[in-house]
Amino acid sequence: MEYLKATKKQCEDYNSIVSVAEKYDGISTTQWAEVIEIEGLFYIPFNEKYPSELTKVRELPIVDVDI
Amino acid sequence: MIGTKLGIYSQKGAEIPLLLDLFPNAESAYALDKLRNAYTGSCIRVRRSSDNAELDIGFVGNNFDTASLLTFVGAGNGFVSKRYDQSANSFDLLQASAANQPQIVSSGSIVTESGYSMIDYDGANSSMETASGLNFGTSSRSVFIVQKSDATGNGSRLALNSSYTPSNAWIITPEIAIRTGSTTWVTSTPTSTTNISLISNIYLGGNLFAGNSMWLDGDVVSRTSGTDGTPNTLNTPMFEGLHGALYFNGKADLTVVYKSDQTANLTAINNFIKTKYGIS
Repeated sequence: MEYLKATKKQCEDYNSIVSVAEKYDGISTTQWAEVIEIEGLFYIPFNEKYPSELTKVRELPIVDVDI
Repeated sequence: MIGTKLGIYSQKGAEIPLLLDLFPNAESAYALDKLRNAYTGSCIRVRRSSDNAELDIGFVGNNFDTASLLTFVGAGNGFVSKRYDQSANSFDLLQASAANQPQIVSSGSIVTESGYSMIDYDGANSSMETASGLNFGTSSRSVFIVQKSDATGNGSRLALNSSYTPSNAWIITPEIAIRTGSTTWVTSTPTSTTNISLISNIYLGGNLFAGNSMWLDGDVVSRTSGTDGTPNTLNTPMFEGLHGALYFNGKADLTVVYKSDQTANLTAINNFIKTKYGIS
């Protein structure tokens, strides 16, 4: 899955566009995706049915995580 | 035929005892088969890709209703938006974001492993979580997990308590390991990437090195590394398939969690599950 890299607002707007168009049931499934924040940058999964001029990345950046 | 999975045949009219009939009082329990005879709810809620409609899928007898699932999904894909908790506690696993839902039907066929229906976690996006925490605190716990790993790293198969902030969890990984932040209990005995595995975990309290034990397919596994200490006690939601940014890559079915010490029943529970899934 590819991701869009953009501002938080742009990611939220993309999520809204997809969510409205896909007509999820609104009960169990309420949206396309959560906006992902990694080290101050924002990403959202790209949906191939909804083209975007935003920057696409193939993978999310890997960060060191203490688990 | 009911009973063939277990190799158990009941006398006419008699109920076949299921896992939670024999070993009750689970804190939460999920599987693509019925886990106790008295359970009357659904198994999963599925979203189909063709129009995003959703439907609860239940059981036929004690078995997952695959016919209804396939009829509903059709030739497309089916994704799981809810795994219903078959214990009495309603800790359903949820995923409200379409892009993050694990998959149960692919191009009109149920995801399977060795003939058993499974839920596919992609190792990149998919996860589910409870709406609230199970509040384990420092209590003992016994966990039984059936899965087929596609990778054996530190992706979180199950996090009893988790957080988007790392270092706050009790996570079980295919390594096999328990990771609770800076405290870890790690083996050199990873799960198979070709067969279904059973991971069993019992924690009796206190420091991790002394209080934790794990089994793979019913055989005890030894800790080979880690950092001793006490687990955290956050009361945060339970996650299946994710902790922090570490996703489980593989297929999942049974997940049963007790907030109690099941040492006395360990062998019997392991053998019951191994028989059901054909684990040797």
